[in-house]
Amino acid sequence: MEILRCENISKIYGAKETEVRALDNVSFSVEKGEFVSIIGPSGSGKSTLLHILGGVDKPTSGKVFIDGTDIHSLSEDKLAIFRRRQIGLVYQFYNLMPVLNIDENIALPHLLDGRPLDRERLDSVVEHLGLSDRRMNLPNQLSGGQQQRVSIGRALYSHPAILLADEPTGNLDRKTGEEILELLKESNRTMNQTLILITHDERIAMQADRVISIEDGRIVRNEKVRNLV
Amino acid sequence: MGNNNIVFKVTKAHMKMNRKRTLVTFLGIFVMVVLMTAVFIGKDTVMEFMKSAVAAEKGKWHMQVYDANKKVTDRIAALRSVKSIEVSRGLGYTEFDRSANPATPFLEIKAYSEKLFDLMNISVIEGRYPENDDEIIISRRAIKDGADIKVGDTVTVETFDRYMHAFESEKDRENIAEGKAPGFILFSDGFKIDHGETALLPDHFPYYENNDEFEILHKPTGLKKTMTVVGIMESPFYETKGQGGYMALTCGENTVGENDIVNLVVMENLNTREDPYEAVLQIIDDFRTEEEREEALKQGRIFLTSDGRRIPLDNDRVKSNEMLLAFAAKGRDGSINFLMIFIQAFLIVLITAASLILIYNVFSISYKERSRYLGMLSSVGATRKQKRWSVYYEVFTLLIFALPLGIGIGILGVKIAMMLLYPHFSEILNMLVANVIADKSYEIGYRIIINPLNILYVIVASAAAVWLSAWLPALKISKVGPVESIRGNDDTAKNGARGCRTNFRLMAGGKAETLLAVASVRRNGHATRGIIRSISAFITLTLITAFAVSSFSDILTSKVESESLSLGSRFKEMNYVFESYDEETYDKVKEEVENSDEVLKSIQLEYDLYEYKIPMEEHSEEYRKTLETVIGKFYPDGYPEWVKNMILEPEEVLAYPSAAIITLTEEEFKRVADKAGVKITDEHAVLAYDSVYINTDQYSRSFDSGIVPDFASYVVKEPLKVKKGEKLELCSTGADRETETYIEFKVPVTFAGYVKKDDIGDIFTLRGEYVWIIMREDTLKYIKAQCDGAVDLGIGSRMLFFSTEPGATEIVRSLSQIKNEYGDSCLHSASLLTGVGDLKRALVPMMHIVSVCFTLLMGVICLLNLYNSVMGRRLARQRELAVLDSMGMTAAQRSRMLLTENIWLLVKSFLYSCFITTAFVVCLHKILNGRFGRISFTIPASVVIITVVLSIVGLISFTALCYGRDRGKMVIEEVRSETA
Repeated sequence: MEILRCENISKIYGAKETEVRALDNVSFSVEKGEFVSIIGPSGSGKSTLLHILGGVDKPTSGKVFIDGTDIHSLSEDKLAIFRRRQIGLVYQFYNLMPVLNIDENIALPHLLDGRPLDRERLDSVVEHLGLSDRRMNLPNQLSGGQQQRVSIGRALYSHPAILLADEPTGNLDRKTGEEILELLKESNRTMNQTLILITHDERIAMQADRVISIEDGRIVRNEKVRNLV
Repeated sequence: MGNNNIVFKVTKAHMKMNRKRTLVTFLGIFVMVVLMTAVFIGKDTVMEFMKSAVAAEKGKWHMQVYDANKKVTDRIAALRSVKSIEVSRGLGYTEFDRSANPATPFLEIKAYSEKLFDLMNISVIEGRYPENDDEIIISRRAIKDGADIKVGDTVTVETFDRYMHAFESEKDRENIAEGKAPGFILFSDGFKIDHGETALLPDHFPYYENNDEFEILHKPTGLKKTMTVVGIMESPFYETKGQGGYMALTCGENTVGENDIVNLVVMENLNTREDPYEAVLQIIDDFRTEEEREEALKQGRIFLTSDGRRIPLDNDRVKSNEMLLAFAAKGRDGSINFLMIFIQAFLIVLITAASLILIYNVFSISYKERSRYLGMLSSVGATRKQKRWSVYYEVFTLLIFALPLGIGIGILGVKIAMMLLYPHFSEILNMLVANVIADKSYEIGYRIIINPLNILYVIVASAAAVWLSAWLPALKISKVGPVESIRGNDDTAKNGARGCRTNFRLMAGGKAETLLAVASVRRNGHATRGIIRSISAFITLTLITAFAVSSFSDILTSKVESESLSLGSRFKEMNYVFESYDEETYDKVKEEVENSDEVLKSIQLEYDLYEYKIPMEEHSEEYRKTLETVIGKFYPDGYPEWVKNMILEPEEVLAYPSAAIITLTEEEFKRVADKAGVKITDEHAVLAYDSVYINTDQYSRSFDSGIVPDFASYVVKEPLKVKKGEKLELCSTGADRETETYIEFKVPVTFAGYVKKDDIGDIFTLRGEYVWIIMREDTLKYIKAQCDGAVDLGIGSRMLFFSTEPGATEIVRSLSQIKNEYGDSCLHSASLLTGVGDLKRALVPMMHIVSVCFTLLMGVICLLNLYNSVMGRRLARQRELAVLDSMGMTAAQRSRMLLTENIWLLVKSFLYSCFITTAFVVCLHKILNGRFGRISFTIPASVVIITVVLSIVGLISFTALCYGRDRGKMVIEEVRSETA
């Protein structure tokens, strides 16, 4: 079942001589529960694509449908509500709220939706992330790996339909990176969450169901992993 | 410093990269320089303007010394604190047969040295100044009185001095012996002569015909010549309407001969700290014999020198241009000098405080971001010292640009402010015109005083303020290690190694906005403290300024309006005032005015001062104690017995404390009582004004045997012992019609309660050392009827104010025909009484305008500081907000979060402000009370409300402005963007 479809997405920065075409007529779709990795060199447009898919950036042209909804036709507020319910974003630099502790950071998108805290679920997520003994710590009291776990916990806590991860291991050592990847894969497997992950690392990309390769804003390869292996 | 170069280069590059932050810091420093310049230049400009205003009325002279001989002159001239000396010689009087005014039959001639004409503000309106001792200029008053004289005429001068001989009859001697007569004749200008004595009359003494009590003698002084009138001058400031001779001036030498007795005008050297006043008194005293000193000490007031010696003041033989010197903080009254220095120091301290907070805030706001880049420097080997220097380099670089720009804009600001204020000052000064006999106008220009020393002060003070406010953040930042810095270790790290307790209560309610707001305010001190500091500074500094302004104005008002009845807005609407002591005429006119179609409104003012008394035992204990405190200022070593008998424990009605009576119509009386919340039940109920103002100036004549104290003023609230509804005895004295014996009247009235300033403010403002009793017109009639036969010792008046239709001529023409016993019209322009009165009084509203401007300036600066803080915080949390947006926070949720934060910040700020303001105000009040007596404790409620409302509106609107302007920008652009 198709959960995400993008049609002819283009993103152009600047104008005339300074025009930069970050994305050029990109179209693809993703099935529910699928794990897709997007790879490409720096500046190829993969992060731009991810942000457009997540509704935090607007395409210059083209459409993004999530669960049949054209997300960029929504008003700013409706898009915000859509984002907090359907999409979980994991950034390379974590982007946690510095004034909230781990518990509060994880539950934040859920609380933003006006829903009361599910204490049991929070406990289980925190335990699952291996952060039970650091729950009261603020982000700057945590290591990079711990902060990224919190960031994943925040994305998972409210069961979004799609998890978008922008180089989640790019800032971590190899061992921690592997642990983080395992967490993401596990949520993809156990909760049937769609996972779209951006990475430089071909070894990580190969763990996905499908790999989309972007160069100069264009999809140059879109293949199932087993076909590649 | 060489190895600092690379740090400076990196800092410079960083400043260029982070333009917004650099701009905010620059703005902070620039505003501080503008402020400092405005205060230093503004202070001198306003003081100079005030001095010009005083000089316009009284002249530019500093001190006058009467009856000085050559030796005295030489010693005074040799004083280091004396800049120059000018000589004035009183040549005496001459008959002026061209006078048209029988009360002014003489010319009073003085010879001035050349510069004295300017120092004494002599202004020739026709012709020219005299160039030799055969030429003369005459006061315009003579021309206005109809004298047949013009430029080019000659006057035959045969000078004489005027003496008075007071007769002493057998009956006088008997009466004096029996204590029925005082033994002397006292004139209204203070001249006193004993019966049987012959004395030289003082300058400007009125003309009197010989009578049963005294005769006037003319003794020739030897000058006989013909003088040519070369000019007509404005009436000099010292010429009074009642004096017997028109002023006439000629030229004189600026030297003093061996046998000369002259008057000196002494110009002080205002740049030295030394005060020549005491030295001059000492020089005069050195030439007295022991007997003369003893005699002078017995007769007049005493000056207590700094080393405790007592020098007689000898009937003001040495006079100071007090107000002019006061504006240079070199006046004779230590309290007023202190006030002037205190006001200036207060403004400078306040501005410095505001500046320090402003700059410190700018640094605190960018603390996290700055810490990160300094951490980066540290990681490549920068030492702590180099990190500190990086901060100093940044601020001093900005200061170099801010200084010329800030000083320029500051001067321009003062110029614009003076341009805007000048019409108001002029208006106030022009109100004086009606009160000056010669109708002279006060065209006082202003100039911006740019003293290079002040510019140096601004530069040094700005550099010190910048260094001081950068020092602490620099020190703190330099101590943060590289790793913590780069990781963004702001003060959230201070929340303890174990972190912060999870707020499950808010989470359970799904209140994400409140959770974020509370966490943001409680756990991120640096960013929020800046805002709290800004609001607290705004409220505290504004309220302290308002309190100080109110206190300074109170002190000045006490000084210049010690006994006054100022008319309120109701009277200010009126065009004309009619005054006649003839009751029948007055009542007729009152009826005519009330029935005239041309009259829009009319209101009567009736008051009676000193006529009635209230027994001392009916005054409160506080009143008595305050009186004792004031007496103690004159007699620090204990007061003489007569003070106890005559002032503190008087037995005779004549010596009781006075009560001032003011009447209102039945309707007005009820309205005032209602406003004051006082119930009127009795027919002869009276109200009392709730404050009595006692100051040292009011008693300077009574206690002229004491020392001259520094000025101190005291407010006594609810000065009567008598309770509401109880009887109050109003006393008076008189003579029995049949037996002609002395009798005392005691009329009981019912004391209904006190009224406050605001209850009667629209009608009048009352001051004075006596209790003001407010009553119905009928009650005063009743009291007068009870006191039939009383000697009228009081100063009373009944005046009818009225406003007319534009162009009303009939009533004005009709009433202006009515003349009083002196032949003057009984109808005047109401501005005569509703105006400010004299220059001293004009200074109060002028000072008030300046103070209000200063408060506004402070307010604007603090609000700018608040904007900077809000903006700084916005920039610092740009990424946070973007992340929240990316997580699905709606605009409404963001607004709610910001509103909750603001409420928290405001509550915290109000609490801090309340605490700090109270502490400061209490200290300030204590300092001022210690020096000036007891002043009222007022922070105007309106200022408190305005300040609080402005804080709320300011924070909310700045939040809307700073947080709303980049809405629509894509979330990811913000997530990616560097914080500025």
